[in-house]
Amino acid sequence: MKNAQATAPRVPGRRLWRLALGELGFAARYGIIPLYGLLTVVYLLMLSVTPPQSRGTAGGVIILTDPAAMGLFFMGAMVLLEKSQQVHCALAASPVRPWEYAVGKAVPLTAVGLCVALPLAAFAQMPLWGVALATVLGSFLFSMLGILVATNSDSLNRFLIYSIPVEIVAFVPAMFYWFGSSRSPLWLLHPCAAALALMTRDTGLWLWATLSLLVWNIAVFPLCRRAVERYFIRLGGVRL
Amino acid sequence: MISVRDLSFSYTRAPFLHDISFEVGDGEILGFLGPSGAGKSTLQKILIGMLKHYGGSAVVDGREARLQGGDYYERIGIVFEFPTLYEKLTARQNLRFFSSLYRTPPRDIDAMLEAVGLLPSADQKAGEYSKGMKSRLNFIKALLHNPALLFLDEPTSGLDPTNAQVIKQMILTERAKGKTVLLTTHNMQDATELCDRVAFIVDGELRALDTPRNLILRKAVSEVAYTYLEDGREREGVCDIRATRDDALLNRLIAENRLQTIHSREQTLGDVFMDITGRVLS
Repeated sequence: MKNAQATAPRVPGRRLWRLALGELGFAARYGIIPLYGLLTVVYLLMLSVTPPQSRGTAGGVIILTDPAAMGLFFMGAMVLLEKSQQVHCALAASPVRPWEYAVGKAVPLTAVGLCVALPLAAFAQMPLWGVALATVLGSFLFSMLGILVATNSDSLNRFLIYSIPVEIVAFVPAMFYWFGSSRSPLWLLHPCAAALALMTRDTGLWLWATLSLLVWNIAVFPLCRRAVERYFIRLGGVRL
Repeated sequence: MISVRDLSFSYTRAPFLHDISFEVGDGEILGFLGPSGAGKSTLQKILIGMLKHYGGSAVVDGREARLQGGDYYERIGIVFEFPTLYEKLTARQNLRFFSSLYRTPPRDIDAMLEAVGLLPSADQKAGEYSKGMKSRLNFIKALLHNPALLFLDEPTSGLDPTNAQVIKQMILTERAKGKTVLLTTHNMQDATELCDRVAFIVDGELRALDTPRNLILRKAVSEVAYTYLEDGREREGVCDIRATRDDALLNRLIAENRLQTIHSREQTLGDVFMDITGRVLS
């Protein structure tokens, strides 16, 4: 069984690129990009009224809890909006693989997060490479978590309820690390503490913080892929 | 192209589809007819690989449906019974986005839009479309990558007769190009016009499978229907074609030259469906 027209040669990543581009377009259409343009200005104003010696600390909190974590907040809206338009059926019955769907959603939000985080980091005189690494790895992780929660939520209310424990577990220990006095390397096992560690000038922590975030991403990615796969199967009407 | 043997499936512990067997050849249009909840869409979901935990065998293009990989979707086109469109995107943007997910270069998008009368509103958001316009857009979305096998679930649902005819003509054109079509419908007229063979599905069972003509001719007896005036109102009488001599009313009307109309009335596919399944399709 062959299509009437010749099938183009397989180009690795081509479909993923199309999905990511499409997602970026949706982010613009649904106002996420303009919103973050505005938020960047607001955050810069907030940093400008913060004493210069505290800008790095404030910048770390802002970057971690918003541009880096936007995937967790917005994924629910994005996935559930698609669900309401029933496009998931079309995607589940298309060549799109579950992992491509997940990564295609995470990459644009990570890119937007990076575009917000870098000006803030530059203004607060934070280390740009560290902030970039923390934002990319943190945002990807949060996007994966957002997809995990969204694919298991059947309404926005439920998504908001389910995401609260994730936020508590993610941010509360990180704030203890950031504002506390302990600098034990064990903190780096926590992904958000590791992301914050990357935003400091202490480059001695960077390797372990990067490794920690990579391990977290590698651990959560298959869970996220499986969640999308199960979600696609549930579209067929099967309870799992 | 498709070979289904002893297929069974259940969403819960109770069996939903049971012991379904049929074959579909290349270039054939097979219609699944049945009331809502009969199992037609479930059968389609099994064949497109969305439901994998089934019993028996469902082989499509030489491979078990549950084992089909992503490349399978390059070769099939699916119309769900509801629109699957991004409402914030225009019709053209929807088609461009979905066709970009396939390796096959898309057919001419404007030509497809024109074929279903949507070219003038191609740059309108899908969310602003009427139900019928969404159905037409949904239909051509499934054809863009030129698939060899089409699964169509109620493709004329929500369409006015003119647009339904356009879609039916396009389905026949696809068949003429050698495409295989599995059509799920509860519309007898569509099934009669389009299908080479139809399968009656009721309560998860395949009750009959044959060409529409053979099914209609299965019950050879036809009826004679006649109308006449009585007390100033038109009335209708019906009798078995073999019993016209015994119908006293008919004979009296003929003798008194009071018949207004008289004609034979063959069974429709709907009548046959009711005979075989005991159900009526809307």
